[in-house]
Formats: sequence, structure tokens, C-alpha cells
Amino acid sequence: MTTANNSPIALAGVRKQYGAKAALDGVDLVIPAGSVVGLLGQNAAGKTTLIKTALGLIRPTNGEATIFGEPSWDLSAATKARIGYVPQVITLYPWMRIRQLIKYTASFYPRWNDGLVTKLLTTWDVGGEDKVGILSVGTLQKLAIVLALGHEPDLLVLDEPAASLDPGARRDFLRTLLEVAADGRRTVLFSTHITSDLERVADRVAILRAGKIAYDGALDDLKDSVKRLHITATAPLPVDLQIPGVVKSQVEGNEALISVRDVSPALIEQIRRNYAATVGVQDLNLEDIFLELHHHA
Amino acid sequence: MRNRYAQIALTYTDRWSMRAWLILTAMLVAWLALTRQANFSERLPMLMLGGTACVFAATIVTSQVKEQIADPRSALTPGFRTPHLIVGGVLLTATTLGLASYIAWRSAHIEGGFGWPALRIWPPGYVAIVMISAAAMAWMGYLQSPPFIFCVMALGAVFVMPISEPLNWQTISGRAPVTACVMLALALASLIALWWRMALLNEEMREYHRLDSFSPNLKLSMTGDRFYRRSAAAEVGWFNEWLRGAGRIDRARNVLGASLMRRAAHWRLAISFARANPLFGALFGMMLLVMDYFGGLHEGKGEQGVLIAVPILIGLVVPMLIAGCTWPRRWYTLAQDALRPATRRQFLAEQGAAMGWELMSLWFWITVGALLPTIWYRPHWLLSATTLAMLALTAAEQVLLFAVFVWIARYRGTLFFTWTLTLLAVAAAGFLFVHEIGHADDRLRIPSPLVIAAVLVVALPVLVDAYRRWLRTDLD
Repeated sequence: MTTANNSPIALAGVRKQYGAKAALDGVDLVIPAGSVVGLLGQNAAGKTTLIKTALGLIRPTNGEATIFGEPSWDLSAATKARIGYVPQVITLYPWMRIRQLIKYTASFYPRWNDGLVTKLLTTWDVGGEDKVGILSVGTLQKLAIVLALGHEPDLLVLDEPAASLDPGARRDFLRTLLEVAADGRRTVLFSTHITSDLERVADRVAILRAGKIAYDGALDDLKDSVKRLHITATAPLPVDLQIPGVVKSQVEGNEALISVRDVSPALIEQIRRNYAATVGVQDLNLEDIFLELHHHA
Repeated sequence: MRNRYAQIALTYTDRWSMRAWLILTAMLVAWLALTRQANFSERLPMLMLGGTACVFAATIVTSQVKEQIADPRSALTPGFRTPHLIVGGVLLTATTLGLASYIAWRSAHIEGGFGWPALRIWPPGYVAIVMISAAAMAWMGYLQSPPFIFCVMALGAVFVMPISEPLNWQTISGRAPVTACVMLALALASLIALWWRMALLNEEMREYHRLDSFSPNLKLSMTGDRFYRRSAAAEVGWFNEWLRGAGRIDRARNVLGASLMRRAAHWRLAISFARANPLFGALFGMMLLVMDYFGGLHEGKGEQGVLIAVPILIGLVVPMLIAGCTWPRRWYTLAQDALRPATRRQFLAEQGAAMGWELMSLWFWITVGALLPTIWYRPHWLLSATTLAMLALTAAEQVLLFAVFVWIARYRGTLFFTWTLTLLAVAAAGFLFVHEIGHADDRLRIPSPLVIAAVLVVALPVLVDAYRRWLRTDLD
């Protein structure tokens, strides 16, 4: 069992202030070893700040961030050797050839899996003799992923890694991610706006909203707990329908469309009784849940 | 809604360089307007200062127009490019041709006095010299190409050499009207060609790229070029690869757990222009050799000032100015590099060691290059106490400049912010050097060991403080 003390990433009460604006506002998050965690959030929700704070690139204004039990701000060399990171904006040395950049990056690490690197470069059709400065954004992203995987990190942190990949490369990337996580020893944290990717590979999800964690738990639990209820009553329903755990409600006359957290048979029965209504339950995919949680139509 | 042309003109006031230029030029113009008569010693520096203002205006205006034109918006937004070119053209004309003409008109006749001769300025001659310099600087601001910048510097050096002096005075005083007319025509033609080039500027043209401008924040937010792809693409040529010594990376060995200096050397593989430093030295050496040859040193007219003080002063000021331009690019890869296996203390110490090493390498090669004429004409001066003490002073000043730069750099401001503060520090170091060596009776003073020690005493705490502050600085 992973505890906050030795978990790959643990944030406790982390706050990051930029002037008057709090990019992170008291974030508590523990990422268990061996999990693949998708970090979701709207633009400017604080995803990149959270990732950079977790990695020790940014110093929290308050609170504590640790990686494998060490303070993120002052990581040892051994712990850094266990981390792979793909930033959102990738800037590499433009004048180097790809093979040179790989060799240069490898020279810092205690181990380097040449076989994996070669396999990924071949799969993604990235030529070793090309110079980094002329690569397309997508190829640059592939290269950054390869560089982050080369030393077989125990913790892989990716900030919107698939944003610029074509569908084929994205599928390959997700498969690689699954292979990386398959042995249950490695942990992956990745932020994304592509919820279908997250559903395909993540077992946990953390939703960041205005600098706070709005949800942190197993993906399946989230999908099981948030449902959309179609309520049809014999009489007009009150506009301020009082239902516990309501995330979003839309009431029109006798009908209501309500998204609810922690749905249980008892709750449905209670709604039937209270409003003399029939209740239909609809499963939601992650994108729907995300939109409901952020009150989008 | 404001007039579109006025809106475009107002964008120039966003530049700190333009604001500073406006204040200084306003003071100059006010002085010229308020003084009816001034003697030679007062007016001549104003002529030179005014000419310099025109030349700098050409660079500022042209680089601003390029900032606006070398962007997808200029091709896709209806009615974007023409007004920007017109406003830029009008401002360029006003700040170069207009200002130079006004200065020349106000200074057409300079009174003598206190032993100075009277001087008659022929306005077209003065304007021609200013405009040819302004045209060169405008092209420099447009191309943003290091080889072109060096060519302009070399031509500028020829321009101020003693051999060019008679021709310059003949042009300014109206005794060489044909030369003046040819210079003026060339300058105007080249500026028209520049504006025509900008009117056609598109992504297929080599100069479409922009190196880091004085307002990188503007570039990031307005062009959408988050990945600096244009800038990066400018660094992939064979010359850049050769300058960087890229082949050395193929022989790189693992540095996990290696010593500080070995890891610093390893970082230099990625961040330094390995072969550029000796090249800079060679170029300065050749330039000074040619200048000194035409200056008459081969006939025994040399003096210590030209053969010792000037080369050592070049070695003092040039390295930090070069480093001040190239090091801010280091920020882009800092986050990823900071996650390589090493503690924060190790990482920062390694970066500091790599940068310090780079600065000392630049100082060494540029000083050696600049001293080539001394080696050629007066080799026995090299080991004199004066030369060695001056070298010790400039070496100590390099440590101080490095400490100041590292202290400033943690703010990671714009290139303009960083470079301006660096320039001020370099100017102060230059002033200290000149003050310390003095110049009386054609002999140089030996810098005091106490001053050299004092420079180090100031530098070391600044360096330690910078390191401590960097330990608390975000590396994102």
C-alpha cells in the first residue's frame, strides 16, 4: 500500500500564488505507485502549475510537494533519475541531430534502454540524422516522449503529451504508455484535454477546477458515481429541485434533467416517491462528466 | 476608435528602447533649438551624438516593423501590412533624414573659440554620412544575422579609421559634394530596397525568421509561435553546427557522478559556441591589425594606448556583451535540464561553472586576438608590468561582471532588460578600467593591486548571493 510518505507524487495543501491570483489553491493529491493518473481541467485550471510544482520546478507558496518521499524542491540525483518528464512547450537544442540529442540526454542517466528508444523512433518514423530545429511540432513531441522514456523512469509525467500527435501516433503513444505501466511498477501522471485518451489508459483521474482538486479517485468510481437522471413527474417540478449530490440541474415543467454524484438505488427511489415521478438513469462518459462538473451545456 | 495609423505609431512607444531614445533626442533637439551659437567643442559632440541617435532610430524602427511584418497576421489580416510599412517608413524618414537635416541646419556654422577652429558644416554632407550609417543599421535590424552584423561592424571600423578621416571631413564640410551625393543616393536606395523587401516578406524568405528580439514576451503572445520554431530553424545550418562543435557530442561519455568541472564541460557541449570564441579573437585581431596598419603604427607612430589599453579594453567589454545576448536563450531548456540527475545545488553550480568557463574562454580569446597587433609590432610590451597588471584587472572585472549578470539573470526578464543592465555593468567596468590606467604624458598607469583585489572582494559576495538566490528561484 502506498502512503503519502513514499508515494510517487504527494501534494499537501499546496498553494501557488502569482500576484493576486492563486494558480493552485490548497491542493491535496496523492498518486499511488503503479497507477496511471489523468489530470483533467479547463484551460488555466492550474494543471501545468500543479505538474511543475510536483516536479520541483516551481516552489509552492504554501504547502508541501514530495516525490518518492523527498521534497520536490530539493530532489536527490537518484530520485531525479527515476523521473521522466515531457513538458507542454518542448524546447530542445535545435542545432543537434536527433541521435546526438539522444546520446547527450543518455549521458546523464545511470541506465538507458537503447532498444526501446530505437524501437520508438522506428515506430514513429523519426530519423536520427534530422536536426531538432526543423522538426514539426508533432515530431518534436514524439522525440520528447522518447527522451522521457529512454531511461525507463519509475515516474513519468507528461503535460498534454498527445496534443500535437496525429491519430496513428497518438494510438502508438497510448499503447506505449500502457506497456510502460503494464508491470505495475511505474507510475504515470499526464494532463490532457482528450478525455477519450484518458479513458483508454488511465485508472485514476484527478480533476482540477480553479486551482482546487474537484475530484480525485478511480476512473471507474467516477463513472459509476456520476449519472444523469431523466425525471418525469405528474405535476410541475420545483425549479430548485432539492436532490443530494446534484452537479447540474435543468428543470422545465414536469421534466428535469439532473446530473448527480453518488447515485444510489435509495436516492432514485426517494426521488420517485417525493415527486411521484419516473426516473431514467443514463451512464455518462468522461467527457460528459467533465462538462457536467464544469456546468457546460 | 483611434485612427489606424495613430494606433500603429503608438506601438512604437511600447518599446523601452524607443522611449529612452525619445527622451534623449528631445533633450538634444531642445539644446540645439535653444542655443543660438555654440563653439566647436560644444557643438561637435552634439553633431556626433545626433548622428548616433539617427542611426539607432533606424535600427529600432526597422526591427519594430519586422516584428510586425514577420508574422502570419501581416499576410492574413486585410489591410495590415501597408499601414504598418507606411507608418514605419514615415517614422524612419523623420528620425533619420528629418532629424539629421535639422541637426545639420542648426549646426551649419560652428563658431571657433578657446583655441578651437571655426567649422562650416555642409548639411547634405553630414546627412549623407548619417544616412549611410543609418541604412547599414536598418539592414542589420532587419536581417538579424550575426555575420551581417560583423560585416557592418568591420565597415564601421574602416569608416572611423584615420585613413577615412580626411574623406569624412571633406564630405561634411562640402569639399566632396559628389561623394556626399553618391552616399546619400546609396543610402536612400538601400532603404527603399529594404522597405520593398519587407513589403514582400513571406515564410519562404530566409530572413522571415526572427532571433530573439528585444520583446520576446510580445512575440510569444502575439505570434502563437510557442515553440520558437522559426528561431530554432535559424540554428540548424552547417555553420552553426561547426561553430557549436556538434561532432563532440558523438564522443560524449556518461557523466553521472562525474566531477563538477567534467559535468560543466559536458554542459558546455550543449550551451557554448565552442569554435566561435577563437574565431571572435581572430576577427578582432585581423580588424585591429588592419586599422593599426593604416593608422601608421608600422611607421613607429604607435603608442601604449593603442597597442595595450585598447586591446585589453576590448577584451574587457566584448565578452560580456556577447554572453549577455546568448545566455538568456538558456532559459528555454532550463526546466528539462534541471530534471537531469543532480541535486539543485549541483545543477546550479554546474551551470555557473559552465557559464563562467565560457566567459573566461571568450575573455581569453578576444584579449589574445585584440593583442595581435601588439604581438606583431611591440612583442616586448606584452610581458611588461603595465600589461600584466591590466590583464589582471580585466580578469578580476570579468568575475565581477559574471557575478552581476548571474544576479540579474535570475529575474529572467526580457532580453532588453537583461542586456541593458549588462550593458550598464560593462560600461561601469570599462569606466573603472580607463580611470585606473589614466593617461598622462603618453604613458599608462599601472592599475593598483589594491583596486584589483577590491574588485574581487566585491565580486565574490555578489556571486555567493546570486547562487543563494538562484537556489530559491523557480526553474520552470
